Amino acid sequence: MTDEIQICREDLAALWKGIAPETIEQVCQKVEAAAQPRWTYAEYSCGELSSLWLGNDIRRHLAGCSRCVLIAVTLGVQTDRLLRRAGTADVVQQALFDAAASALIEAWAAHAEASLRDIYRKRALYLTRRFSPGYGDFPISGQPEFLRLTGAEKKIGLTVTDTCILVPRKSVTAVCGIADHPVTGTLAGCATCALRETCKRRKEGIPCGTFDS
Amino acid sequence: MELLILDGAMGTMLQKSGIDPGRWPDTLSITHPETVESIHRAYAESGADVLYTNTFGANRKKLSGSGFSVKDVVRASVECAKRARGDRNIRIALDVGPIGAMLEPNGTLAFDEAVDIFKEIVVSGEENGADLVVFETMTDLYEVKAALLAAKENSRLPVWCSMTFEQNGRTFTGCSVEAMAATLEGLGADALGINCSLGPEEILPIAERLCANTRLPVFVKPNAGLPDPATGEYAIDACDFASLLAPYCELGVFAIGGCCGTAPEYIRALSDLKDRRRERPLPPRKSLVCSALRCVEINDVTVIGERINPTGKARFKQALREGDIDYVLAQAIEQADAGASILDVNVGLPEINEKEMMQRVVKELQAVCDLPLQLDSTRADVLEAGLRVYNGKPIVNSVNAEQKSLDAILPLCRKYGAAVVGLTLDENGIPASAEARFALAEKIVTQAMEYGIPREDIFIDCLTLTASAQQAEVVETLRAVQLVKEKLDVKTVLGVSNISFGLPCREIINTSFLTLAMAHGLDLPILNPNNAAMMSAIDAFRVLYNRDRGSAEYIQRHANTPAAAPAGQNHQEISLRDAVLQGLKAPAADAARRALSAASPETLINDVLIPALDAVGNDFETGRIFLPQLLQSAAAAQSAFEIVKSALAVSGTSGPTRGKIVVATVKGDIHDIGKNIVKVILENYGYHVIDLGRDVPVETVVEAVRRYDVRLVGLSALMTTTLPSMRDTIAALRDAGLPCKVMVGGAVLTPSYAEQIGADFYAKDAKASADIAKEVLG
Repeated sequence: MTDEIQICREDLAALWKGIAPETIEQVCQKVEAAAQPRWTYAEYSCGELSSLWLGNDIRRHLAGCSRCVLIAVTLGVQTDRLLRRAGTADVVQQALFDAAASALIEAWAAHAEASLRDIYRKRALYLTRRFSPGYGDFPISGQPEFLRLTGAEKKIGLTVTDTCILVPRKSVTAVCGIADHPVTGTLAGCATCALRETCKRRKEGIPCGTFDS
Repeated sequence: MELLILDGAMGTMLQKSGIDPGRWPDTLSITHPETVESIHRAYAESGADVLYTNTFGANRKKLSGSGFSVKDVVRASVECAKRARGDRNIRIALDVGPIGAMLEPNGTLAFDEAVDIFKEIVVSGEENGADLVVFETMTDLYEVKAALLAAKENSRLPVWCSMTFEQNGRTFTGCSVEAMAATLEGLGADALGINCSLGPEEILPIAERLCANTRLPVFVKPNAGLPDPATGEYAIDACDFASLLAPYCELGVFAIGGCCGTAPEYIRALSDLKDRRRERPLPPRKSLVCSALRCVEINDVTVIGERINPTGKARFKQALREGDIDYVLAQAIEQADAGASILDVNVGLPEINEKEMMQRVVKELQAVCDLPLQLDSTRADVLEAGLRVYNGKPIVNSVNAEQKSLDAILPLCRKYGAAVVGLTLDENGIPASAEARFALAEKIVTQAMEYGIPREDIFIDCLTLTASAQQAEVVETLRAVQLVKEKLDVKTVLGVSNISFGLPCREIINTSFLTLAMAHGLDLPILNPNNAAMMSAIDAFRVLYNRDRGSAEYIQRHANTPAAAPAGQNHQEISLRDAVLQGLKAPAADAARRALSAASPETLINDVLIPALDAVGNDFETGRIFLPQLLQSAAAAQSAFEIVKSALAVSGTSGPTRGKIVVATVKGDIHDIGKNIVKVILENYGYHVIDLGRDVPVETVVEAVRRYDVRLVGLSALMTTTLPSMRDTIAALRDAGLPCKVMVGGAVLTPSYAEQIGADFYAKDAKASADIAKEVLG
């Protein structure tokens, strides 16, 4: 695994207008230094996991794929410690460190997805974009099963609470469909999103449920 | 001595058997006993001396939904192993893996619940005839502690503890081999091991480190090399496995076996090694304390930070009374940054529940700070509460030479594997002469060793007296330190700062006394590490006593220190209002300090802080500024507010408050940023906020509302899965008949859902919560 996955400073700075660039840089470096990113994956046939596919959005996403790859990624528990420690300073630090860590786990999830895409490409197979529990109407109640199927507890130290929250906090599980022809899958839109009533992005006309490239 | 051969993988063999192990492989002992038994038999016939039962995940959390109880699975699994054993001379180890959930405060599993979960398994195992217990594949030292306590408190079986490391010699949670050894040896483990994750080659250097740090027998169960990430196949065959395990015989481990990827032929191959085990030279004993993440060996002057202590500190007392844990944590981080190696933790205040507070503070501290802790209380029950939930090997402060004290404290130190500070005083007080104090030290050391506490874990405090009151006895303290050090060969500890009480320029006296004490053999000064003069005195001492070789550390620390900091302001003076508007923390605090000399705290809050925050709030609502600026202004106001609070605490008044509000992130949810922002904003507006933290049980909320007579409660939940918990909390508040209003907020919450679960208000953001507070409380 490469250590070169970094937080995109520009993106963070755009969200955190008014924070000095050197502060952003310091926070990013601390988060990157504390992170112990690990990821793992496991391939299954979509059919044998039918109990996992709750909701319409995930089924639509995997349509046309007979197999899928489950991914689990975590920044490790040291990141949680850093966030708690930074949080004792003030709310700005707490929120800023949290945002930086979120950006880093996203970057690692993207890295894991891209790495798998390369691996499967060599087998002349294609992957959909990754789809995570919590997107659209795909519930997070499947997290324990995700962890079992990927062996993530043993392999990368990822656990889940009774309320289906991943611990360490900055972790991602996701699934990509596998096909023998180019596929993208269908990301969930706003219609089934749990945040649809209160989402600011949606009100501002820039919903997140669109592919960025 | 013959090497003991452990068995190989169970999971791998179950997979090979063609049965789908499914979600609950342990239940195969009930549904497919003949398969499990045949795997055990294959290992027994291959020469295994110990069989691990098929109970790795047989805890109530993992079995939930399987339709089988822990008892049933454990009984069936032990029976499978027993049948396979037949009349061979084989021991059956009750195999226990991790629970699969992270302990609080990282996760939500309470320490006591973890103990209870392990207890259930161990008790069943012993009842059904297991010969020993093995906790394995553990990555969290805290969880192993819970497991080991459960086993030691509820069974007589020997307990082996095995953890899983990455190649850097740490577990996923950051626990080092050394911390594992120090902690688990202290807690009474019978053997320590390493298993899983890595192959024999990778584990060898880690096993060497383990052997160098424990006097307990050591065992290993490596995987058959590293798995191919794509296929999951392991790299090493049986023959290579055995040859790669040969170096472990040289190392002197007492038992070897195989973990994932191994099979009966691997175990059979190990039998050639049986008579090749060397005697292991035991490592020298050392004085060492640790957290899970950091070991501190006391082989040089080692600073214990004294600041987590309410004595003489009005603001600290207030924080304890209000359960303001963040304040306590900030004290810890400040001391860690200032160079403390260990932190003393004293939360004794007559009007609070010291036992509860000790547990809470220890748990929270170890989630943010790596330093080992010294648990400080006069009460044995408080010490035990802290010892129980401490993750690592702590110091207990303190025992004294009074028999009652020795009999109450020493057994606790023994049980929990803590080092102990012994005060040279007894029922007759502190003896004047060095010789008399030495005699008490000798009594403490003798009795501690009789209780099974090794000499290197006993630290003697010869007690600093105040120079202004007992001038003649100051030198007796120094002489006593020297006597104890030379004749008893134990480490010495002294609270330094007390020496100067009642004298001007205390730093001068403190620093000189510290230097003298170090020269007389003081190992562990308890002091304020934020005091640069004292820390520098230690740096200098280490140069002068040839401990800091080449003065390297001294130079590193002091080469760029300006001779004396220039007096005066570091930044321009700006008004409190401007500081808040611009979100400048330090200037806001300074401005508040200046303003307090001319205005009352009430005026400051009502006429300056709140109007400034209103202006910021309006700018936020109208989109002129964004969340980061709002937060920066809130943080600036907070720092000003902290100055006001300290001033009020010193004057002994509670100060202006517009009413009390309880805030909490509900049970099961561990997201607290939103709640914390709300807290800060509400405090800025002059409300007294009682923050119950995150993952807060329903009854804790009810109890707090009742105890503090609160009329407004703010509940936060971020996940769809934790909304029910919010609903339950509101229902419980209503059932209790408490006349409070409830406001709720959180990402997935909607106004309609808020109404549906019986909340009085939906707060869309922190500003809204302040508006609601104003409506309810004025």
